[in-house]
Amino acid sequence: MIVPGSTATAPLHLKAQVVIVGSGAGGSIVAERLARAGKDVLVLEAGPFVPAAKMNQRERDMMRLLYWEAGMRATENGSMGVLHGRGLGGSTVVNYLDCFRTPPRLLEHWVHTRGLPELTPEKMAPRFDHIFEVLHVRKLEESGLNPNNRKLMEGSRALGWSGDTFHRNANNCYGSGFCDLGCAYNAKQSAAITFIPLAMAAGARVYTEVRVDRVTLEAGRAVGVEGWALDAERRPIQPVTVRADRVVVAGGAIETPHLLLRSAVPDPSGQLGRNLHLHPGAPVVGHFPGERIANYEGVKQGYYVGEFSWPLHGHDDDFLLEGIGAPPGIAATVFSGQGASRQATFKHLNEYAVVGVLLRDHDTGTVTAGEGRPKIDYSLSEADALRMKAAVVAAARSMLAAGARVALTAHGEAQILRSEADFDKVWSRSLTAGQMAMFSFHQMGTARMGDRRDRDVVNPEGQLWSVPGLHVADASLFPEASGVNPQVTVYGLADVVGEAIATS
Amino acid sequence: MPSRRQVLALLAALPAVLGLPEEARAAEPDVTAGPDWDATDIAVLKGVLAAVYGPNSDRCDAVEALTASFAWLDGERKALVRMLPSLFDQASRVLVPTISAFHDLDPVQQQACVDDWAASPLAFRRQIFGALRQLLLAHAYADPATWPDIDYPGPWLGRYELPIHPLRFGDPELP
Repeated sequence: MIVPGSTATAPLHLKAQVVIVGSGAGGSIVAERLARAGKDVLVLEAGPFVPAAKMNQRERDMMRLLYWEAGMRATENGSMGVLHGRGLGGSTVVNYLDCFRTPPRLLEHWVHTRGLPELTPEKMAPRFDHIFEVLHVRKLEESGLNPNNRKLMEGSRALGWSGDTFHRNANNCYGSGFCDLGCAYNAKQSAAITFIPLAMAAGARVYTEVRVDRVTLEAGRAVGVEGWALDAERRPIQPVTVRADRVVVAGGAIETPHLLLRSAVPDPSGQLGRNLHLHPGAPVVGHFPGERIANYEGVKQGYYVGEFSWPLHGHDDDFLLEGIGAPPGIAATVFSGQGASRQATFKHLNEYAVVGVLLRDHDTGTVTAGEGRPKIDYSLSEADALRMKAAVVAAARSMLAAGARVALTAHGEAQILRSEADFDKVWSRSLTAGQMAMFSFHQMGTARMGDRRDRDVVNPEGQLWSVPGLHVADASLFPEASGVNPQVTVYGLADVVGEAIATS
Repeated sequence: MPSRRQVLALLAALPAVLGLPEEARAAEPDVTAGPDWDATDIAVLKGVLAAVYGPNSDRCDAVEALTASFAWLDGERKALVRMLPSLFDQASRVLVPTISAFHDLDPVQQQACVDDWAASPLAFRRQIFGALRQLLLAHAYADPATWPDIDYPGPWLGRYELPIHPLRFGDPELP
C-alpha cells in the first residue's frame, strides 16, 4: 500500500537495500526488477498518487497536481515551456501514450560511439517485448484516428512521405482526449498502474509526497538520501532519512541533475547537468473552414511522419511530425496576435488541425542548481534553428496538401502560408528567443551513459563513475536525443541499470 | 508573565516541538505563499489581459487563477513571476513612446503599448511580454466562462457515463 508523506506525524527514518528516487518510467521498472529479484526496495516520489477517480479533466486542477510547477516551468530565456510530470508514475501519467522501440539505427550508434555493448538491438529486444507486454502496447488502427491526425496522414501521403499510426500503451481507450491531464478511465497504462503495482506485489514499499533534497555520501559512497515528507500543499512537515546500500536517482533529466548537483557528488567528467536535449516542439496549424476537426478530442496523437527522421530513416533534417491536440488553455498560448484579432482567429479552434514538430536537437543546454529550483539554460543553435525551419515548412506543406485553406505558424506574429511561395516567410525569420512558441515534452541527456569517465557521467551499468552505490535510471542516461517519443527508451535503459544492480 | 529570556527560549524550542530542525525551517520558505501583488500590479495584469484576450476579458478570472497558481512555482522562479507586472509597468514608461507607466494608460493606449511589446525587435522585451501573455491566456482559457466563445465543450466527465476500467495489476492504494 502506498504511504503518503502527508500522513507522517513524526520524522521518518527508513532503511532499504535500494532506495529509488522517482517513480516514472525509469524508477518504476527498476523497482519492479529489483523487488522481483528479492531486494528490499523503497520508492520515494515527490508528488502524490492521483487515481483515475480524481482525474477531473480540468486544466487548472490537473496541471497543478500532475506537472512540475503546475506546467509553468520554462527555460531561463523563456523561449520554451518545459513540461514534465510530477506524481506517482511521473511523465507516464501525462504523456500521449506513444511507444517507439528505440530505433535500431540509434542503438547501434550508441553502442559504437559510447561503448554501450548492452544496447544492441538484439539484446534490447527482449526488454522491449517485456515492456510492451506490461504496458499493453498495441498499434492504433487507422480507423481509430481522429480528424486531426487523419489530416496529417492524408497530407503526408499525398506528398509521398512515409508515416504510420502509433503504437500506444492503452487498454480500451475511449478517446476522450484528456491524456495530458491524466487518464480518468485507467485506459492509459502508466507506470503508476503497471510497473509500480507489480513492484509492490513483489514487496517494494512506495512513499509518495516525499521530496528528496540530498543524496547522503560517506567515504565517497552513496549510503542513503535525506528529504522531507510534504503535506498536500507541498509544505515540508516531517524530515525523512533513508539508509540504503544503493541509491537510484530517477527523477527525470531535469530533477536528477538538480538533485545530484545539490548533493555535490563528484563528477570527473564535468558533464553532470550538461548535454540537455529538449526535443524542441512547435505547432503548425492547418485551417479547414467548415470542418469540425476538434483536435482536442479522440486519440490526440495517432499518426506520425517519420520521413525526415534520422533514427528511423537516416534523414539529416532529423525531425518527426506528429498529430497533436491540446486543451484550450495550452492551445491559446500558441496562437499569436492580440485582442480582437486574436479572438477572431482562436474562435475557429474547432476547425484547426495541428501538427506538432518534434526536432531531434543536435546541440544542447544545461541544468544547474538555482535557488530552490533547477535552472534550465537552453537556446536553439543556428544549426538546430535551421532544421526547425525545415520542420515547420514540412508541417505546413502537409496541411496544405491535406486541403487546408491556410497554414499558420506559431511565430509571435503568425505567418500565414497559403502556398509554397509563402514558405520564404518561415526561412527568412529568426528563431531567437521568443520569436516562436516552443515546448519541450521530452528532456534527456544530463547524466549521460558511456564507457569513458572523462566524458560520461555514468558508466554502461548506470552507476556514477565517481560514486559507488549511486545510480541513474531515467532519460538523463540518454547519450543523445532519441529523436522519437522516449518513454520506451527510458524503460529500456533503466531496465539495463536495474539488471546490473540486481546481479551485482 | 514569562521573562524575556523564557520567551526567547520558548521560541528557540518551537521548531523542535513542531518536529522540524531549526536549520530546516529556516531553509524552507512557505511554498504556499502568494505573490503579494498590490493594486497596481493587479491593474497591470488586468490591463494586459484585456489587451491580449480582447473583448469580454472581464468575464474570466485569469488574474485570480494566476495568483492561485503562483504557489506552485519553485524557488526563485516565484521572484521572477512576482516582478513581471511591475517590470512591465515601469519598463513601458521607458521603452514605449507614451512616457507613462502602463497602468496609467487608457485601454486604447494599453492596446498600442502591448502591440509595441509584442513586435519589439529586442529579445528581452519579447520574453517579458511573452511570459505575461502565456500565463494570462493559459489561465483565461482554462476557465469554463471562456469556452462558449470557442465552442469548446469541456470535460467528458459529466457529459458521458463511462466506467473506469479495472486495474490489470491491482490497486496500488490497497494493502
